Amino acid sequence: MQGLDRYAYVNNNPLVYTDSSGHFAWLPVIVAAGAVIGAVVNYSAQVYSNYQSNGGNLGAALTTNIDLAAIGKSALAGAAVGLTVAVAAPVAIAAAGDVLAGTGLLLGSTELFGAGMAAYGAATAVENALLGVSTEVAASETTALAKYDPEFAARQLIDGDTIPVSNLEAMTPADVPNTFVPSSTIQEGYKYQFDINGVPVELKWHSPDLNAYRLYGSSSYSGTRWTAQIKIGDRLLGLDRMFYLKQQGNLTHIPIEWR
Amino acid sequence: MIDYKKLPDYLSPDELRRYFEDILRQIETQPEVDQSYIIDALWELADRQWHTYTLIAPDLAERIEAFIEGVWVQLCDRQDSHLVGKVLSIIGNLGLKRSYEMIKKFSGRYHSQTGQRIDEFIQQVEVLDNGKIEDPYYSLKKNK
Repeated sequence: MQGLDRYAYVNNNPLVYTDSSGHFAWLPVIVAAGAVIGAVVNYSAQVYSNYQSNGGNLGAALTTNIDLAAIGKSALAGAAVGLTVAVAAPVAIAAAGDVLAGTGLLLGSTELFGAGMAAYGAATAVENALLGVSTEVAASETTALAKYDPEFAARQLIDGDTIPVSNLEAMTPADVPNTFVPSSTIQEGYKYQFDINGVPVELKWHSPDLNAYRLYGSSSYSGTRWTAQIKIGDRLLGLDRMFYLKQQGNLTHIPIEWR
Repeated sequence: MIDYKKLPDYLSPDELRRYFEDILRQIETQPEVDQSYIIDALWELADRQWHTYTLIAPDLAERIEAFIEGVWVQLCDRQDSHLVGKVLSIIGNLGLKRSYEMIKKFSGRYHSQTGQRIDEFIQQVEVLDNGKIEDPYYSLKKNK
């Protein structure tokens, strides 16, 4: 699935890696390709017509009686088709994704909702690629996330089924202190509270919670491993990259990975 | 005034009870105290209560529900979706069934971010928690 991921170019990890050479805008390439295809189709048709009418002389068919104006018009038509497809397809996919997500919400289906959001995200990624819009965040720029929707930024922390701790560290501004207070049940941890564009953000990750382990055993992520809880405004990030208004056990206690 | 955000992440049920009683006393005796401050305090305490893996005492729950029921309509009318979201979180993390039944009546009433928050919360409780709002640990028990 990496080919469809908007962060494939940074190994699916935009908070850590960057595309130092910048994004490439694909829209002009698609338009140019449409123009070339249009021109080639028209030229080929003219060569074929010449070949049929000049008794099978291919050399003459290739160079004589060629209407350059017609080739130009065909190139323009090809460019227009390329532009239309490139612009219309992502818009149509995004609209379909939106409808699917809405239907999922209405029916109470997280699968439909997730599929709709995925389609919407993929269409947006295609649009960004077409226009060469860069969405990467450099690890060294601790304020870079302020340029983005913090919920969007938080979703990018998750890599598969875990959050690499390096992503959490990259999202934490350097001047924010760790305010985690160890306790008898959670012995070690980190907690950082700061704002992004006026939205309160809390990043917290800590060692296994002995209370959770005592009550829920190995079925509790929080009780058996280091987990992160990410609060953006009034909601918690879930492992499925959705946001939740209440604690949802393993869904909102996301395992972290030390790399 | 206490900055509840800066309280330790783990507080024992007894310590939490003292904090809840302190803020509830303010609610009940000082109606002029800023609602945002009260809701932020309850939001922080409710999150810590969840992490004790024990249910809040019924007498405290009763007093918190009375507060929520008293401010709910006014909060919704203010269209402050984040504050409404925090109240929903308090209801969810503490398992306040009576308040949940009340807010369900507001589903579809607001066509705004506030309305979206209410509908989103109801969807999450109904789909992920099978409607069992009274058990804040339903999702953990599901995996056990």
